[in-house]
Amino acid sequence: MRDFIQTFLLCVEAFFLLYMVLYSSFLFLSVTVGSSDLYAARRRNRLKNELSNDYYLPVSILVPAYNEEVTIEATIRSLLALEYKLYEIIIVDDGSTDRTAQVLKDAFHMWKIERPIQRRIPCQPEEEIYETRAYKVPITLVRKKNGGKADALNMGINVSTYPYFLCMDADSVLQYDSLEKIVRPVLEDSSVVAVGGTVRPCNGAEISNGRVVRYRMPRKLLPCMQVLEYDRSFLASRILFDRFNGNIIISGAFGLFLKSVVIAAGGYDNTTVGEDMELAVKLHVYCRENGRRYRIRYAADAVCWTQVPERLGDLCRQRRRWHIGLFQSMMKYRSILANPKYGAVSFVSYFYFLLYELFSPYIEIFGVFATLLAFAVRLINVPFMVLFFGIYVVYTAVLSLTAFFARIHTIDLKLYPSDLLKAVGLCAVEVSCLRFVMAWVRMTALVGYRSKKHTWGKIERQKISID
Amino acid sequence: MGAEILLYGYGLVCLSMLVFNLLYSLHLRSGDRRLTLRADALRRQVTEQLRRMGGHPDGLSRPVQAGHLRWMRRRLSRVSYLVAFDRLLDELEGQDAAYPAYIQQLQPVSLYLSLVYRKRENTQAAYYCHFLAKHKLRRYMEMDQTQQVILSYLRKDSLYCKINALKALCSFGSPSVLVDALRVLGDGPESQLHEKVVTEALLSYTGDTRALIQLLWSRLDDFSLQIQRAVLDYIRFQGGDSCAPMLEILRDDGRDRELRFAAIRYFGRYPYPPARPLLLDFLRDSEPTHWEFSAISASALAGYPGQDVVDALLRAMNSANWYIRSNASASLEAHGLTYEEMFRVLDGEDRYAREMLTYRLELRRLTEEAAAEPDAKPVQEEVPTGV
Repeated sequence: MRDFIQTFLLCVEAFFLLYMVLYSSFLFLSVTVGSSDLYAARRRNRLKNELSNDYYLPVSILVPAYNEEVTIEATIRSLLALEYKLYEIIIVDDGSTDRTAQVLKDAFHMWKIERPIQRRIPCQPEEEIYETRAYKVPITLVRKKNGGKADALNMGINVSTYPYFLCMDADSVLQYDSLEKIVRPVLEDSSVVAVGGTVRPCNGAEISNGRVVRYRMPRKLLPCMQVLEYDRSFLASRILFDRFNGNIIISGAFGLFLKSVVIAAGGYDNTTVGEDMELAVKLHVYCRENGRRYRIRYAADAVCWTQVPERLGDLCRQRRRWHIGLFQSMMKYRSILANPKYGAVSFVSYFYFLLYELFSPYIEIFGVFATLLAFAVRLINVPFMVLFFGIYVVYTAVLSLTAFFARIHTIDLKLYPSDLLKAVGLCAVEVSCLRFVMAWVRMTALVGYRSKKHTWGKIERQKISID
Repeated sequence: MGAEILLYGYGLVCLSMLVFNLLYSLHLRSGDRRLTLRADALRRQVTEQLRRMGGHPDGLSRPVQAGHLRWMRRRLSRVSYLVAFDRLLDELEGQDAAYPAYIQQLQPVSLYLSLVYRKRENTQAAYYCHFLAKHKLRRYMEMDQTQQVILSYLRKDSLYCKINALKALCSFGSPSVLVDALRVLGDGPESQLHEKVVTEALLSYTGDTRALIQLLWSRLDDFSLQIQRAVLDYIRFQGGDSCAPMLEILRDDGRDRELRFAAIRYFGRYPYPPARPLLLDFLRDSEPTHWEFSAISASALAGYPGQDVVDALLRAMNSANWYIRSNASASLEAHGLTYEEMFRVLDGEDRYAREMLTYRLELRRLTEEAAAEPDAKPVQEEVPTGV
């Protein structure tokens, strides 16, 4: 029996060695590439290597909303403060049971209107449409039967009048220059069909007219750790994947799309909870299957500020939802795996998401149990294990900090000493504690996921301070 | 042992990252101070030359000292000094009577720098072009040789370098060189630059626009399709003097459809009676694959008065295509639809036509109410749908 366990543990050891070497190498490569990319972008901007837009692409901003009475007015006011000339705002109220629509009607003096809708993508029917022309851009509110976020976005696409649309969350704030920055990749290369922006936690930041006037790390520890996690994940994969047109996620909180291609591909899939990832993968598949030259880009300097959960329960629900979405998208497009037609999208992006995102909670928890087993049968070198874990924590924490500082340096944010201490102190906690809690949450996410179809992932909202 | 080497390797990576973070942070902190020091050094030198030139009894004809030109060549070859000089010129321009004469005498330095930065990495080359475009040096010095060198910057493998070089050439104001530049710009096998960017650069042209447009028409077929589209957009923004050649494009079935769309938009902006029958034909064309011609024509016909146009637009309200109905309804509104004509649509059997026109009328009411509000803000111009 002991021999069997020994052989088993040897195999486990070999697997984990390979797994960790690949992961560490990827993390190192992506953070290095991401940081150097941010520094290079800063240098390019200093030396005026940039497109200054006097000639704008028309963009429809879609804001799907469900029970967002607390934040919706602030969100729309922040959209009106965008420094961009040609856009429209479309809010789709997906059958809210609170006063979301009433808040909008009162705040923006909206009038009921009979507006014909070209139904290019199927979605639940509209109930009422309101519009106002009293602001610098047209604002439209569509009240419809509840059908989920994807369905609300499809309605938004149907109502929109411009060739590009931007999707965002109703609890997010776009930075004043974000629209100008996110359309730049399209101006640089007309084959771009989608652009993902950077999503940053706004807990702790003070935002006025779409500008960050004071940046502090959040007071609570949980959102603080998420700040570090967001920096690492956006820098870690998206900039690197962008190098080879391999991004298969565009955050639902902030993404720009060429409408005609999205419609041709069938729009958002309202049978998945991860509609953002599903759409990005679908666009890869659609363009490659139809031999269309395309690019899906990531604009690191286009920033959207969003509220991250401040309570563990909310965070767990959010991550469970994300994991289910990831699972559904990966399963739906499993034909991409090891498919030469998809090149790096298959062999790097899809493989990475499969191994290090979808399966990682199972692998990590399995690793913990294997360690306990080895400990029980006394087949473990404890000092070496402690050293190994220590190095892992320090390594990942330092990479998180590098991503964090790269972001702080390149956008000229002033960092207070107490925030610096928080970042340094919490990066190790995030890697050694929160990560394992999240691994457990993600591992159990798929239990009974079918019953959660069509629902909106809700977290407790705070009123956004935008002055 | 192997595992330990791996661990120490990772430890080393961590240490390197930390050191890099620290050093870069220090580098950033000292950046502004270094720029100020460079700007001060340049200011001292330039002010001395301006004082010599301005204080001389011969007025401004006294030459800049040869030593100063050598010093400037050496210093401005470094991009950090060029950035400082850029800021210094912002301060000096219009402040000193000797400034134009001083800049004029920097012509050999400018030519020398254009040769130096041509060999530099793309970011620096792009910045040099930005510098030339921003300060519009053509006002003070002869740029014939420099612009020939800048033309070669367009072949560099950098989007920003190409765009900044194009803007620099636009600031020089030579139509023939600019036309050559457009040809080079469209030569790249993978040139996917959005045509709006090229149009925007052309709009910054500082020379004789009439001469440029004439040359652009004569060389239109030399450009790539993308550049042709940008050129036609530029011509549309510049005025309505190109109706005759634009009509040729509209009539030419062999032309790319995007070019013909651009021509329709041109005649929407500048109504031209000879184009009217063609626009009406496009609108009446019921072939589904030609819907874009019909939709854009429906929008363009807003500026063509006449009962035949109104009738055609009313018929277009029954089109199966949403975009044609939408644009036709907007044009009918612009024509000031009479009650009887409106009634024909609203009382008709076509629900889609009725809905579209009702929407337009409600929209008009909303816009009028918004404009009547005391704190009304300017609203963005409406863009035709689907085109």
